[in-house]
Amino acid sequence: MSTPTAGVDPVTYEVIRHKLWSINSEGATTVEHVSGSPVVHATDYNFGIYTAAGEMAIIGVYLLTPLYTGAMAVQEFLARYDDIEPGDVFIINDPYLAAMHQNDVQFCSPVFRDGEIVAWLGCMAHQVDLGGMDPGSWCTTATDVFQEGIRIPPGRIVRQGRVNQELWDTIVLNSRMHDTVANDFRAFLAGLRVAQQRFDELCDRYGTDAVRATMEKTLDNSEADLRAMLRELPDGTFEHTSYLDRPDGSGREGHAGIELLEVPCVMRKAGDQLTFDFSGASPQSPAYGMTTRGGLLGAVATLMLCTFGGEIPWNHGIMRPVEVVAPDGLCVTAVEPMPVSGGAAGANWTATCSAGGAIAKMLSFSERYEGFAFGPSDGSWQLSQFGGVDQHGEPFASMYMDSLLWGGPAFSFRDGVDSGGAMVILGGGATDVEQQEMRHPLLYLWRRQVPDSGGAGTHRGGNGVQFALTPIDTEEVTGVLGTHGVALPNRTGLFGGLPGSCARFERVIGSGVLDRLGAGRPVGDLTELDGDHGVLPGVSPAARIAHGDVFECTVQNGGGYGDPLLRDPEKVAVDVAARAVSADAAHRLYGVVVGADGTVDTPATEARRDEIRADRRARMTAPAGGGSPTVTGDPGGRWGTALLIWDDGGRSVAGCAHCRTPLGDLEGGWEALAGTLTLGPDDLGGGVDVHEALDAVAYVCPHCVTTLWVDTEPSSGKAWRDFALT
Amino acid sequence: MPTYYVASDIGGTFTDTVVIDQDGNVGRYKSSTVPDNPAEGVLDTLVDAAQERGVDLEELLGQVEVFAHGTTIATNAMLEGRARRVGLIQTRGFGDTLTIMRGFKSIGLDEEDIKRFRTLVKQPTAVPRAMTEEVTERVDYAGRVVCPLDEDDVRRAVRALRDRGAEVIAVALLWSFANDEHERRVAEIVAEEAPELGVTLSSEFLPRIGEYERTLTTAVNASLRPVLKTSLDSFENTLTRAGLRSGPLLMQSNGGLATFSEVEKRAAATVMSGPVGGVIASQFLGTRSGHRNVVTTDMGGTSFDVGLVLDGLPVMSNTTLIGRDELALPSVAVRAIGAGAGSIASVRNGVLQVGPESAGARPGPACYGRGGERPTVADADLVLGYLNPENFLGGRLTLDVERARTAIETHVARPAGLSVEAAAEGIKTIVDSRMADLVRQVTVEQGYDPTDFAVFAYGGAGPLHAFSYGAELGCPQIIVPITASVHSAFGIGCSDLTMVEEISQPMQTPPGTTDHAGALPPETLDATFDELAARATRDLVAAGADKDSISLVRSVEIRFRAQIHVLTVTLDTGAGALTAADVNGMVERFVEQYEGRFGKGAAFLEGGVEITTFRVVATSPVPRAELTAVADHSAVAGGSAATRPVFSGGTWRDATVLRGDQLHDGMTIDGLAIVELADTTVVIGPDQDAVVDGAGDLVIQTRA
Repeated sequence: MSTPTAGVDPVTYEVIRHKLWSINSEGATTVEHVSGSPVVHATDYNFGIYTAAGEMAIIGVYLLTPLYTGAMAVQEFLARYDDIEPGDVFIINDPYLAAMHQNDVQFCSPVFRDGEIVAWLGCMAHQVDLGGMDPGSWCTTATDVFQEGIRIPPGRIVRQGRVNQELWDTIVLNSRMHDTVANDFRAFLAGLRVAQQRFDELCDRYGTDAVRATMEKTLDNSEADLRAMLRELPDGTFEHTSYLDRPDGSGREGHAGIELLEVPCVMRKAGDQLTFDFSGASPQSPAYGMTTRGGLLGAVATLMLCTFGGEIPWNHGIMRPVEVVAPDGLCVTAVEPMPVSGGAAGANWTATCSAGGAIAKMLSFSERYEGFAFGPSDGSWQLSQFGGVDQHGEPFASMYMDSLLWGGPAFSFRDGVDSGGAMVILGGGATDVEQQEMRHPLLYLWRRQVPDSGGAGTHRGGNGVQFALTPIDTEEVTGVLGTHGVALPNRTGLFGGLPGSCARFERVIGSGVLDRLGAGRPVGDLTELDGDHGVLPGVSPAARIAHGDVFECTVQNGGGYGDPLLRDPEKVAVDVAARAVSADAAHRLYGVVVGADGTVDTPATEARRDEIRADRRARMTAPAGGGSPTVTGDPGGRWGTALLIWDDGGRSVAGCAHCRTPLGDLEGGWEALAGTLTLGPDDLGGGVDVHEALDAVAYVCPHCVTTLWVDTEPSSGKAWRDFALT
Repeated sequence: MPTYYVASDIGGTFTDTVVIDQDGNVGRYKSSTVPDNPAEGVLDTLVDAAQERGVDLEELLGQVEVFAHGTTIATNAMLEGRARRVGLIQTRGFGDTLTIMRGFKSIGLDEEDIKRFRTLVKQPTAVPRAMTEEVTERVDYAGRVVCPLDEDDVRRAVRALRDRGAEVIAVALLWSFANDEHERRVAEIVAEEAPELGVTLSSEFLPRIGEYERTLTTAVNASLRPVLKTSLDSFENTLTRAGLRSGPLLMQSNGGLATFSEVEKRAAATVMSGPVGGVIASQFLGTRSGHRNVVTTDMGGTSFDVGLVLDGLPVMSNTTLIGRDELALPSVAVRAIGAGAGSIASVRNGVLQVGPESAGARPGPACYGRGGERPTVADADLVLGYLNPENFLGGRLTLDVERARTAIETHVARPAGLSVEAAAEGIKTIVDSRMADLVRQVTVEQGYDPTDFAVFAYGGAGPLHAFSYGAELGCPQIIVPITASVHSAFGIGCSDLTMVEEISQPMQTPPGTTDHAGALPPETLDATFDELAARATRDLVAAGADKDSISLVRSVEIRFRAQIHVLTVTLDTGAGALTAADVNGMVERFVEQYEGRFGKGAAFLEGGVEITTFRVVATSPVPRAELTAVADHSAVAGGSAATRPVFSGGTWRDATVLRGDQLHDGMTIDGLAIVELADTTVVIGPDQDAVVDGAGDLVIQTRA
């Protein structure tokens, strides 16, 4: 553990640290106050204090994925300009350099003391529109970057206190919403000014050196803490793969019309250093889903903060031991001229899923840190934006934040959070149904939590919502819809927990729903409605929802943790009473029989669980490797709830952690030691679709048939190994 | 015959009482709270008051014209889950409203807790999903029936809830505030099917837009009503048996008083009953002494609570945060951080931190000698010489300096490489600085600069620490009221009978509107206000108010259609009919207030405005004495000031030490000084002085 650096005593350090935090929130409050933009108020903005070298020193909880681009921006300015002066304010939104997509405009200003840069202040906010082919600048069908919003290279928007009016006007003029953008820019300047003033006061009072030393020390401390944690974890390679599915442009129905991009993450851990290698990701392509390096680094940084940042102050120290490897030109490192306006929620989300899986596999070797592990946390952002003429006869356009209400991942010690488990935005949520209906001409038929939508497990994945809308007091609305995760679950579970349900957009044309309701006949489900039913493609840039039609969005939800057969039957009964788990799923997936009075039928449950085990045994493909090694003594290690590991004279022998039967040498990968079975619809929760090129596979102990892991992998076979310790 | 006005604040640990006589003399009393029987603690304080006046309790009580109090009954019932089992009825398709919680998992949490993803979970729902039933019906945004109410379905739902053990029923249907027909019909059916179950309708209790908070608040209210009623009945009985003749009043979260029968219907409106008293007291005293802008700071054992008085009125919030739930009931805004006398200091990585962990009342700070071993802010205050070990809480507790030193030595000084004194001063510096940061945040968020405010400091530890955090903020004056140790009780005694009536009736103006009265017809607004005013007046009269004494304030919740923030804007036009000019004036005032709070140029009037909720606040003054002198300092007790060493600014120096009875009007005290009042210790910093004003308050200022 480090000790206080020279230049600041422990008391002053703590006082300055808190004041920096307070300055940062005052800057953020000012931006929020001056900006009129609803997007800013929905927390898609951030404010940060950076060191002179551009490392994040102080950051708050905002939408997390764009956080890291602030540091990239400052480093870009420093690299490009050697004539930085007091009073300069820099601007950038170039996604290829330092943003997730063009909407995210950043302003950064250097803080000078005695002629020297001692810190940077930065703020970013998603602009409602910066031009491009589609209003809102989120161009789902763009095939190159030039069809998208204006790209702003790194440069000065304010030079020595004077606004660079030509540049300002050029940007504002390129937006469909001049005033809102200009107002946000003014908000940035106001926030930076307030923070600058208070930062100066702080330096005047405590001395610049003390302030600088405090910033350095917070970073050093976080870095030291993280490195200490990493040293407690095993060295090795940990791997997980997730996929981005999207329409292939052929217009074919079903899986035949959906292509998969692969985003594998190979994470190497050596000593106190972590490397995330995405080199195996699919190449970039001129269609939906591309993300830039800024989006990729943001994904990794978000994951690091949310995995380790519970005990460590959030700052760049948490990223110092981290290296991200990926050559340019992949779907996660797209370069010009690939379209990237959707890069805030494209392949970078898939990267979060694969990196999250890899980290979880490493953490689970440690008794101390297995509680930090969680499966893929955020599957996809289901853009559900509607526009048209509202009930007041005025034009409207609105993004429904209901899509945020997905279930969180399960942990080793708790269930996932239902309807609101997001990691990317820890403090966010949606608006009331009544507020939405007052403003937009869409009547909700339901906003409800879908039972069984979180993956079953010893600890259950969080369930998420489904909402259905029908136009009212308008002829029709047009939906701009975009998501992935419709043809596979991105949210796989850990240690035998099942994946959560997939994303889905559905439409019923000519449902006659309002007549039906008017006649007093409730609608429980879309299937009860007349009309033409259809699942909409994940990317549907102009979905027409006319009077009498119904639109329904179902979100992608959290994976479970551990074999569902090991879940406490009482908890299942509680879930059934709370409608979180259906009686059918309780029986089918958990093997729990709940009686009519709501209590667990214990004999029937035991019988049903035996039956499921017998079924697994019958369907199981025997392990490719392993055997019946003999081991002596107690196991020296453990991998989550799946494996025990014996050190047998230099070789590692793994056994089932449930029945303690030794399974074989880890040399060829643990996967070779487990029996496998391909899971079908009956083995999975409702709403899980598995693309024809993939299989959902359960790895089970060949002896006690407890499920040790469930994954989605290529039908041709899994090409990666979950871990290889070194 | 003397007349007394009595107010008590029944807190978790102490019950504070003020007794004001007809001449405006204020007596202050403190006793331990008896959790199972709150009236007992009140009577203990009144026994002291009677003794002081040489009368017996019954005689004193017989002369009490007004008895008002604040209580934690509803708060505790809610936080401890002792409330009644609610069966909730909702619109089909929306029975998961409470479970979904609009997706928020961070309400009421500090940033540190929000940043810990693996433990970031929602709070349990107010009503378990299994106790919620959906019924077939639907009303739309315009109040039109989209789907008629299925009465058989309602009967099924009521029976199901009753069979599952519901003790009360709450009904919260979508858009019921726009059309309450369905909810009223549900109430009738409940009366037929399960007459033993009480019913609370959202359209009656809280007719405002936003189904999540309306449902939550209605359900919480339904669950608390029976608990509060039982408690209040027993409370009133005890006091009446002891001799009280007047009907007791209760403080609401909105800073006004209500009768028991009224408050029983709005139990959830009392969850902040106690804490808001201090803000009202500061408003009252501030107004008297010409301070229109006040920051109120209440530093207790575990938390530091900040409120604001702007231009003589307390800043209100449209909601009430209780635990991790936000109720849609207006409250006096109070922000809290975990910084108090019991906050624990620790060292990690060579970094000294104070809080958020607290030693609470048990085991409490190390110096209490109750088994606490970790050093707290109070231990630092003692080691530094600010606290007198022999005169703490009026001498009720003798503090152990050695234990405090040992705790600081072991857990802070040695690991941080500091002397015990330097470590103690470090603890104090850090906690004072954090409190100053919070105050700054609260004022800045409202669009104000803290240097424009006077600081009122009270609570157990506020008067000791205010000299430091107040000076750091640059506030011109730090005021320690003579009532500091019983400030909330005093505030309860300063409050008016208050009744709030509101209803949501969304109305918009189209983009580009310049004549807002055209889109928001004054007569439509009037009709709504009149109805609310009639209801509020009727309720206050029923509570015993003289009709002529009632003042009405009309306000709307309004926002720019293109923006998010909602403000409450008052129509200060008296009681007359609204004119077009009044409506346009209201919109102008909205723009003004919005830009005052959110910055020049932030308003976006071109996009139109939207009114969502109409509100009438009716108040009627409660009889009270004119406070001629809060404390009588005319007779100065003799004795010269003592001194004792205090560690300040890295060195031991002599501080003047005065007792309360050595103060007199107009007296100036030069810092460094300590004033030991009966239940609290006031510190005046080395570069400050303090003046004793006519009311007995200490006004601390930086020495010119």
